[in-house]
Amino acid sequence: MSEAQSSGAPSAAQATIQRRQPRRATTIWSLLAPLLGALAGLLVGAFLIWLSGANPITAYGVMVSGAFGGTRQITETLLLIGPLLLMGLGLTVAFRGRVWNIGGEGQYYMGALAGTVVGLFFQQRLPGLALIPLMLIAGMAGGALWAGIAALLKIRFGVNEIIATLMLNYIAEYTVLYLARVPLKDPTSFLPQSAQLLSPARMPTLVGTRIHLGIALAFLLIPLIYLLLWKTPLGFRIRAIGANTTVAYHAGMNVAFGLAFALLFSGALAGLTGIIEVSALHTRLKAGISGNYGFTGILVALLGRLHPLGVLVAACFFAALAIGAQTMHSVYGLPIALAQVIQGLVVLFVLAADALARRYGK
Amino acid sequence: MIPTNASTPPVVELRNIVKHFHGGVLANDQITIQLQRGEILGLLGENGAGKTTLMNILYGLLQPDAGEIFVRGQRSHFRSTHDAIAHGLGMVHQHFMLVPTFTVAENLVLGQPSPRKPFLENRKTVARRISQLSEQYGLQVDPNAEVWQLSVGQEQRVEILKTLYRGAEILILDEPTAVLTPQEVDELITILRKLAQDGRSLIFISHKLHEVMQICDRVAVLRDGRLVHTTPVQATNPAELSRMMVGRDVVLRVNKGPAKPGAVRLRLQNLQVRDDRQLLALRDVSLAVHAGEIVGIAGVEGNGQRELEEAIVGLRPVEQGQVQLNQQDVTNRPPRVLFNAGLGHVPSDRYKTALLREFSIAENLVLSRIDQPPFTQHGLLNQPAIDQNARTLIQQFDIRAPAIDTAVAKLSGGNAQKVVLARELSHQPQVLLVAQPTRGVDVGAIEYVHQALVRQRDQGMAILLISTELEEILNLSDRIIVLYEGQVMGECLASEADVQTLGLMMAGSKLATIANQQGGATK
Amino acid sequence: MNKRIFHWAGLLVGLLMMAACVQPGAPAAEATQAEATPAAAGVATAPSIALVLIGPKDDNSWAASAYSALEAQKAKGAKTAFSESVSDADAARVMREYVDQGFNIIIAHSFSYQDATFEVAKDAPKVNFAWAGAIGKTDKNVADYDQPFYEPAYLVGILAGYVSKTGNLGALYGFDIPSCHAMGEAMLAAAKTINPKANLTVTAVGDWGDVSKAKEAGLAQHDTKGVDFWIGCGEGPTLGSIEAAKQAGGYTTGYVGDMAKLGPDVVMSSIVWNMNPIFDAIARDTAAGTFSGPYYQFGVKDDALDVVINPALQDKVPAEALAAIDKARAAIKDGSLKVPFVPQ
Repeated sequence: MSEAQSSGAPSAAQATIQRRQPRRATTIWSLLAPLLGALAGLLVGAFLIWLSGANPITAYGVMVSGAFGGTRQITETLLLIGPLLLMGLGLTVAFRGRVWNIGGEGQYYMGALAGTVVGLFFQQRLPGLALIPLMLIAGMAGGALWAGIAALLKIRFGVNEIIATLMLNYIAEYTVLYLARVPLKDPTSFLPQSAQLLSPARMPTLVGTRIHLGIALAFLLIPLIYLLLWKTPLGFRIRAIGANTTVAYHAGMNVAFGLAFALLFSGALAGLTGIIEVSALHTRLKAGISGNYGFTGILVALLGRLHPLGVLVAACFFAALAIGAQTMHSVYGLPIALAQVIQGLVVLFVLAADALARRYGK
Repeated sequence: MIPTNASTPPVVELRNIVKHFHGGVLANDQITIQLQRGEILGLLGENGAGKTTLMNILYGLLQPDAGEIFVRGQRSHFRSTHDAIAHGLGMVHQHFMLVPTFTVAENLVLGQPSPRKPFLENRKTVARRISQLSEQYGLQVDPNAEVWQLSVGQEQRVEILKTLYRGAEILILDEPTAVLTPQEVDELITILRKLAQDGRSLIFISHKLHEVMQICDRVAVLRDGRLVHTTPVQATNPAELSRMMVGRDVVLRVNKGPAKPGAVRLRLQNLQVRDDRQLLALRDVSLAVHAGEIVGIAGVEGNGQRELEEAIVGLRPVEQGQVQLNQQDVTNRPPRVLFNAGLGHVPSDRYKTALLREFSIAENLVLSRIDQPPFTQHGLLNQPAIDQNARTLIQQFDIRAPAIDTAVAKLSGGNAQKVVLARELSHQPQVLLVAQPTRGVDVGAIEYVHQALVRQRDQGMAILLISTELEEILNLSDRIIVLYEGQVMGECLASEADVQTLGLMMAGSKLATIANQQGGATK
Repeated sequence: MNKRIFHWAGLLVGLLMMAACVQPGAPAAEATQAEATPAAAGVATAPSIALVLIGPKDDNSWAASAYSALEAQKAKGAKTAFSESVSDADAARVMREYVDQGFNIIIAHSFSYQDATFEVAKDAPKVNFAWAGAIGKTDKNVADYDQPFYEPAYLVGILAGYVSKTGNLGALYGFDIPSCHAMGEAMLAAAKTINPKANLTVTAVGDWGDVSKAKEAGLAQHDTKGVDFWIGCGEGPTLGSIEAAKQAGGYTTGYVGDMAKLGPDVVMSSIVWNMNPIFDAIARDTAAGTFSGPYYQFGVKDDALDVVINPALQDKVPAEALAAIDKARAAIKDGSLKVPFVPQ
């Protein structure tokens, strides 16, 4: 039998036909799998709710209505989608270049710091129209600079960016908290927090709603990130570096620049998230301004398959799930631990199903 | 084939082993080999000749498609390495399988059933057995040292100890000298001899001729998955072995007229380069390639070819000497500068340096010029231009693919190589560096690639061809330079080259010496 | 493949065990009624109170004080709901949820909820809010409530004056904020009335939750200054002082909750916070329609704050100390003693 096969080399044309694959089936499966995963997670969660003596159907009803039940609920969900989206989109660019930025948290703090300082300094002197863009730019610069430290360490000294960005998180957090408590402390208050941002320094909202400029920016960035990654030579280079650094370098690409850009860009968006959240929600620097978006953003980006639209879907999913779980506790009285376990379960099942689909979905 | 003591069966006998891989590659084709007790058998062959596949089958890592394995005269079937180890086999892999943060002793008991289940074996007992084994064979290591503290040579000793600790009688060593310094190689040879004297049987995988000659009792040469020859080392010589390793059946003849060399395009001057272990891989290499000629670098694999290739294209630092492209000094400059200076490169390992697997054919075809017009216009990618470029090149270079957006990973070796060639030639470089251009490429594509190279030469391109396939060198080159242990052994015109002389050069003789001897003989 | 199924099964079993451990907190079914009943002023109906906690409700301390007061209101017939472990970022949303659910009193039990509380209160003028600012910052429908922990700290100081062998007292603060600072100073002032040589060593740990860091600080105070009696401000510092006292010897003080169980041999007394007066006042003012952003100030004289002695260590406390504490408490109540408030 080996003779028969080895005697005539199979013609290239034949081989080509064999290699053609049913592409569409793959796509459908890969979209369906996370949904099935979510369903499985909710089923296990239902069992746990039932064990705890509550009614799973009622609980899930509260969960859904908590996230989508009315204008206020949808507003809340949108308000949470915003930061997740911004963070996830920035990390998408970094991860496409295979730059593992784990420091979104620190960049968020530094962006919040830079933007708030600008806001506090100019809020008596500038109108919102001029101040808000200034704050946003300062926020992006703060986040980018913080990521820039990791970029410098990586490119100059070969320090792994995972370790560098992770460690910089702590430095950023404690620095910002110290600054908020001591030099920037509100002189009119005993409390360990900075002065409050006044109305010119607060995110303008859409008339009659609480939807603010930051949310609009986040949604606007979806097509822009798509353009960047797939329609510009820079995005092409970042993706090429991510696919194989040696090949990219050998093809004449400036790998150091690509890596630095990917890291700084994700840092800038993390910083932007920081100043938007402070300006819109927290209104001042203090402990607790972090929503852990730096870490949740990683899941959002990966679950979104590093594609802007996927990131949008993942951000919606995470926002609705978080708010829904919170409502199950606050309104329905489910123990907070159980609500959090269900939230974790659903995420875990979705990630697992996603991983399985990628592995066997071919 | 070599009748030995007929009364005792060989320790290991492989009979008619056949192994296919996906994509129709025949890695082992009816291989029959015997290993005697107390013998060191060299398994010699180029990369991809099927050595490692054969040994993985023997060690239970792979299942043969056909054929039988006999251990001490008994037919054996190894479903896993556990079976093989139970039959007294041990393998020292090229890449060590040790836990860096564990001590030597811990690594040895790892995965071993403990006599004191569920507790680990007594530390002292283990240490005693280790020192006993180390003394017996000169394998000095501290049982309590953590593995990460050890040198590469010491780690290898731990690997050997591991097999002995598990009671291996039959040891397979996969290119054990590849990672060692010359001094460590000498120590290893002493150890291996002691093991053989003690009645253990060894299989020594290598592509280094002189080591095989030095260490082994017998040598088996594999080529393209077939056993070419088995012979005692006394009955052969390096030149013969090198011919057996690289001598390929003449499949194709390329029709080409005589070269019309022009100006010097690529010049290497006294190049000195180190390999990954910081040992000298190229010593004082000088050569020149003119427009309109193909210069072939011949030699047995592992004699500095990879380092030469990487040094020229800027992927490996040049320690001394100069690389000149069109009289411009480009030593240690980044690939972008070399590209602009007119260098094209078809690398030996296309997926490591030239192609992005998950990217489409069209994208791979514009990799180096993505930010230039017409592929980028007004700051945005111009998809129609990228697609058009792909369509043109696919047709021009006869790339067989379902669509222009097919991922390159889905192409056959030959078509992937054509993608690289098409891209590099589409830049119209003045100098083309081609390394192992037909490795892993099917017959039809080989012919195409060869003809394309000759056509480019005729149009005035300067081509440096690095290949370990002598036939390819002889067919394509106008001049041939032989590389041995990082040094140029000599240079001759392809029209005047004879295989005998080339074989001697590839085994380490300088051309001048050979000429003297032959001159003396004819007198 | 078999292995993988095995892993999943293991995971599932683990989760089931977790669920079994989590006691169902009797889902507040009445809270799910969606119809909003705006708090009509002056209508004397049972109030509906929602409580937002920054930590777990059973923390033996800050959150537990508020939670037990909520339970007391529930026993009196109020409709109640609560959320625990609510981060600052989520606080506003949770409060809006309760506004939507028709609660007419929302208590935001953390000073860090300040901005969220005032923001939501502005959008829900008919709902009454209270926040744990202790700085007297109020609004038309936002009350603040004081936390004069320095008053019971004075009583602890009397105990320290009698019990401390070295007279070297230690204070561990999360941060050196006014309310913490006043606690240490009050303790010192009281101790000096018994032992004139008493002195105070203060460490601001820099974290409200880091127990091990606080423990190290406490041990350092012991080793360098001979401290053998501690008071903590904040949960982490207090738990750290308990660990330090266990290791180095000496006594410490429970913070805003009876912590005797956590260190039967070292927690000699605990400052306890009875928040019922605050909750009662809010419910009363709301029902009467007289709520107008008051600053509730309840201290020792209102039975809102007190010190309890650990029964297990009762025999270690000199009788005259108990008598002195009783005397001081009575003096505070009748106004003849005013505990000094030293905020910085």
